[in-house]
Amino acid sequence: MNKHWLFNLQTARESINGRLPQISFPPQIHFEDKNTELSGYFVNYDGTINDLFNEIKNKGFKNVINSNSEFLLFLFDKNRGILEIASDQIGKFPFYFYQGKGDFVFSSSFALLKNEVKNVGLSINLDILFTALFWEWHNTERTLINEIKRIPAGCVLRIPVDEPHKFSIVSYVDVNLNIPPENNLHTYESIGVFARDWVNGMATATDNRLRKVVDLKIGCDLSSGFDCTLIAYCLSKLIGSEKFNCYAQFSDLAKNETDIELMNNFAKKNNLKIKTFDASKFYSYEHDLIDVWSRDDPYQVSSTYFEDFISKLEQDGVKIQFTGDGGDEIYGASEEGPLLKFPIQNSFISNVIYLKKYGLEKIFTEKATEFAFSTERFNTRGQYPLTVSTSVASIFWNLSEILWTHDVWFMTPFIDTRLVKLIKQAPEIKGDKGVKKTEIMKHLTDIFPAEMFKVKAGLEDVYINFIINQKLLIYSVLQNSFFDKIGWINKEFIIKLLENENSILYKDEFAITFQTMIALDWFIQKNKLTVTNR
Amino acid sequence: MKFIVNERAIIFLDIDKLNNFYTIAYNLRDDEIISIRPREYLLLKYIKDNKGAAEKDLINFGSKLFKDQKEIFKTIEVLFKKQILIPVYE
Repeated sequence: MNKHWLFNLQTARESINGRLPQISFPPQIHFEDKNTELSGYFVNYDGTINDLFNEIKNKGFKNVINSNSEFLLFLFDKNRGILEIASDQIGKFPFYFYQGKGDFVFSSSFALLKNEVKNVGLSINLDILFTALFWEWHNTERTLINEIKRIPAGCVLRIPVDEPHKFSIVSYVDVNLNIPPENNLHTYESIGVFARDWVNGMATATDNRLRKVVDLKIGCDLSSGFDCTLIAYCLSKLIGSEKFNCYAQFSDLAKNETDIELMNNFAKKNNLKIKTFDASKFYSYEHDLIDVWSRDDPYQVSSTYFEDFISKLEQDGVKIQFTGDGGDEIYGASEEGPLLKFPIQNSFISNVIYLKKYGLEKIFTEKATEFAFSTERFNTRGQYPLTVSTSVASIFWNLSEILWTHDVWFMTPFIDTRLVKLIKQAPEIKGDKGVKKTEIMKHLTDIFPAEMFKVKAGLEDVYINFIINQKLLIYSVLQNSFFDKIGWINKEFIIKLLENENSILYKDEFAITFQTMIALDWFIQKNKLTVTNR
Repeated sequence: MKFIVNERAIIFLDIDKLNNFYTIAYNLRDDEIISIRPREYLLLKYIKDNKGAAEKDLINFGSKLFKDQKEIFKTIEVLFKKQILIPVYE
């Protein structure tokens, strides 16, 4: 059921009430007095926001944005003629806007808005284009198309309705709330004691969310890792395993991601019900993508296993899906303090890592890498900090539109700021966040079967299948390649790499980047997007 | 010999002033993020703006920021070991 909406500033000025569709979750809200109207969607999980309307009228958005809440709020000050639109600190709602010719147009759908405003002439944002190549997402108002923007997570878009061109975007995120002063940090001495408190903290964060979704059918992701499995365990203890299904997508081609035998052992140990879906056809890339790809979907997410999985959840009546998103990142939270305070610099460093450390510069030209590291590229960005790692928040930025289409809401306790604070009190454990996670989980043998404690690899091998099985599509895209036209790749060089199965293109990170590049190039060509000097 | 700033280790931005010249840098060899404090920032910025600086220039400039020469040398040593500064032999 497609719940996407689109309206302009004049409509918002008259009243938002009734313009936004009812969705299953979060609840819609509307408050109004003679001076102010507040509409949108809102839910709070930590009990800190009890009177939303008066909180915002009297104190503004800061406390609301820094609470464990999920929302998209429209606040209209009738006296001053100011419309403010606020996004929660993760940016879970799809929201895009276009500003031009004295108007604003808002939409929950990038595709809807793109098609609404395409006659103005749409151009590519090169900063986001390069960002997208490496999935190096950062909190920004920019999208792939210059003319279409979004509200960065944790920010307020402020629009004087009589002079909309004077709009501004301000962040209200306070990263210091989650970074306690060192002299106030109590560190656990025992990993075992911490592990039990960690489970209790996870259960509390899960319970806080469960209490808001009464009467809605819930599901839970399941894999052979420690993240969604821990949540599934908590759910089973809180409401009983008969009250929900676990859902798992698997494939022999992605056994490192989900080992079905390990997953079944976990489910058996914890009396969980599972529904499984074989995602092999998506990982093999054997189906004809030329007929499947959409000119409205820059990253072609709708042709992946994800769209198929969400459709199946929808068919099963699931409205709330608990996931383990953020479960990898949270165990590195102690080291993340400096990265959260300096998001633009962090993004620069990510580009260094991808291009230099992983060697991805080998498939690009010097012109591309000069752009990647240019001061101008980073200097023109707004500084919008986050309280969680961007790799967590970006999951929602990229998938929220599909979730909205299917009326399924993803929920993860791993983004709860109270858990972020708790993990910073864990005993010191040498090694990266993966090692830290495993060391903590080893103390939970009543939850996890022993065979789950082995290192998992990622999904990189499957992208090689794209290169092997989609040559027709790839060559057709390269023929009129946008990346070649702007001098970021040399298409003859790329074709030589394609023709040699021992080349770098058939390895790990290169395969992922190349598949993304082809998808983006196809989207740009189909939409006839241009380059400007912006 | 002079030192230059490794341009893949740190980026200097207009907003650095708003952050009171605190920033972060990256040691590619050890895959390590390093916090940069204002004195180190200003020293690095000086080196970058002048396309490199010899020891005597660093002592001269650093005397405005650091307690004594020992502190200047210690800072340079750390930045060199973390590959934020690169020596160039002329």
